[in-house]
Amino acid sequence: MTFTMMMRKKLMQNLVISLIIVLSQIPISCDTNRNSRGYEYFPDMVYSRAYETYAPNPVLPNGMTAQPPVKGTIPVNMVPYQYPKTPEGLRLAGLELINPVEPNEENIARGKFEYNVFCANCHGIDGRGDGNLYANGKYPSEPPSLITEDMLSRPDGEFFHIITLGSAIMGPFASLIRSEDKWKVILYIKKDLSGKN
Amino acid sequence: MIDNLTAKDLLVFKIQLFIILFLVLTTFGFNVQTVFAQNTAADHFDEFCADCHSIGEGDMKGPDLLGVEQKYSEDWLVKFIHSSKTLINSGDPKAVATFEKYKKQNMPDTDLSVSEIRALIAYIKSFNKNTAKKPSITNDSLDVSNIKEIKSVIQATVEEALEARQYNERLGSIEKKLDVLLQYNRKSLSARITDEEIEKGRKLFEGIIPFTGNVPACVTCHNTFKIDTLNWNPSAFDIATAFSQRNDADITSLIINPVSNKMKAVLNGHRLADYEAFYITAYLQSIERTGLIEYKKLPVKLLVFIGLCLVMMFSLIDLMFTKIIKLKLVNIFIFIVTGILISNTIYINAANIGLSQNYAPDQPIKFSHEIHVKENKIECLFCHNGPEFSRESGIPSTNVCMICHNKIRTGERTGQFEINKIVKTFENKIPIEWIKVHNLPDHVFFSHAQHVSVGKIECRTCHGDIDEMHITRQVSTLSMGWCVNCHRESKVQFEENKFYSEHQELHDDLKSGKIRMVTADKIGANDCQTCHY
Repeated sequence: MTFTMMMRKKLMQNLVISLIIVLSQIPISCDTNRNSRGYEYFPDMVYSRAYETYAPNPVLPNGMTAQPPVKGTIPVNMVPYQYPKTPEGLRLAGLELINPVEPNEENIARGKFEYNVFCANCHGIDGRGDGNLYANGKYPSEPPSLITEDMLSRPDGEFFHIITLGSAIMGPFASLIRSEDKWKVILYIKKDLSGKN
Repeated sequence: MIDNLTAKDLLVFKIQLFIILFLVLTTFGFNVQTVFAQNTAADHFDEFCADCHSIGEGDMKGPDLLGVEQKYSEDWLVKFIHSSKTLINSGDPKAVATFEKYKKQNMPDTDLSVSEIRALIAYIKSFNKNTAKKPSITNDSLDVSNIKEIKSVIQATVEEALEARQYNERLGSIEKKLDVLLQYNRKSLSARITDEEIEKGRKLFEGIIPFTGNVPACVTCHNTFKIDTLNWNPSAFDIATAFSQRNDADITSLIINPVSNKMKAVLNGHRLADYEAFYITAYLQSIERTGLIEYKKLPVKLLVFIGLCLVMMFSLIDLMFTKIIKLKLVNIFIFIVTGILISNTIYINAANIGLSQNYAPDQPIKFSHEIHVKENKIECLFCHNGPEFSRESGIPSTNVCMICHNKIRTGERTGQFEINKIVKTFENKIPIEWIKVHNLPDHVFFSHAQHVSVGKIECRTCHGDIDEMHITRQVSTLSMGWCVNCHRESKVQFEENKFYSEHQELHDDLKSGKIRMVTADKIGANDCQTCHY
């Protein structure tokens, strides 16, 4: 008799505990809406009163906070690119520009990293022009191979010119890769990538 | 009645257009036909030729086409462009010579008509007029000695480009005036639409009245109310706003004769009646003013919470005053259980105030990280290229999108609608107003460079499985406790790092084995002034 009573008590206890756990999950949060941020204690400093970099701006002329540099000025440490996107410009860049980066291991490793981020999607990890975007059929036109003799015999300056301004359907990477890294990418293509094949 | 009105409006509109075109022509001395012909030819060139040929930018896969019309006769060119293979196989000496010269790469055949090919040749010719005056530079004359000469040529091209830009600006101002007139015209049209017509349009759109031709209702793809899940097709509001801003497209004619492949497949050769298209246009114009309908969801969790409060209150009242339930233990039990549940709810909701975890707003463009990162294997740094050197990781500007979308204009899921938004903003130079997901308060300083470049922390540590999100969502709480806990656990690269050579005590402790590793909080990551100053 006492034994069954004990059992019942235990069973009830277990039931109650599990019920509390299950029920406590129901009202755990308010009805959420993925489009709302929820509530704030003191919203004063959470959302900036000053106009932030990417925010619209009613004061400035084109409605943006991020303004381009004033006409005729250049940012610190920036060297404007002077060669136009013409065949003459390409040849002149090839003649005049010299790779300022030292060909050591560290620089080539950095070049490899940047190459895999920015170039490998189209030109392929081995530079054969078989990047995954083209191989999957997402990108319609075949990218050129970077490791042909014809391509590797071009001067570094021409590579720099094409990376900066783009070629026929290749877009310009001027704003994406820092110019120091562009030279390192060229270094990687010429020293490391060409030797693999 | 409708027909009469629209016809009248069309007439007025045509007269207005005519006057403007006349003004344009007299002031600029244009030949309209060539302008329009060149536009389509330029499109054809971009579509069929630009992959392998350039005009005046040197040889690519195929030859540079500058001055090609002087080398070959026009009839020969037409034949060659139409089908180069047949010309080569027939043994034409010129064709075989070019085939041999360019590494025996076949030029694919085109479906262009003869007149279109002639327009294309005229387009290529028009480049020659601008550049033929200058002395051209050949490979033989290229030498370091005549760099001055080359520079003068470049100077000339730059000046020409400037002139062309001024010319384009003048054209642009006239286009703007035209736009204003067109919009005025459209407004006067929409003012005459009655509520009855809008209601009929709504019924047609939502499938309450079926279409006459065997066409599915619009609402099967385009939602008319706000939804929580992602619909790859544009909503009714999206369509309305997208086409009201475009002056070259009229929704009514687009509904009857669709341009996009998806719409063509859905209509499957059937055609909407003119009056049906008109009613739907009327409905779309009204939805542009009112926006999508927002159905309010039943706040289930709030109701449960209020119910629990009531139960608790009644049990307390019964325990003290009414005493309906004889056994006191039952009331006490109910009181304790509901008390636990209520306090639990209050605690969790209060703790989540100010943390917008799981915030996933609708963005102006249905950009999917899953497609770009998981399927196309694009690295995070390709688009967000700031975090290595800057405080911000950066929102990519539209020119970054256009590196690929210059060529990729149809998405597998969204068709052309979403990508067209990017192209439109790129061409009009309007920035896309993305909605910020991760927001830190102003009183916190956070630098991506410190964490990514120095700390070598992966993006997904904080941003979660971004490659499985069609809608970008905030995964972490971004609370202070979250920051501080991570600082206590993450290891700092201490050996072979000159930057931390000043921490002599920690170096000694490491050597003697007192501590196994140095965590970020030991070198000041959890000091107040590191983030709040």
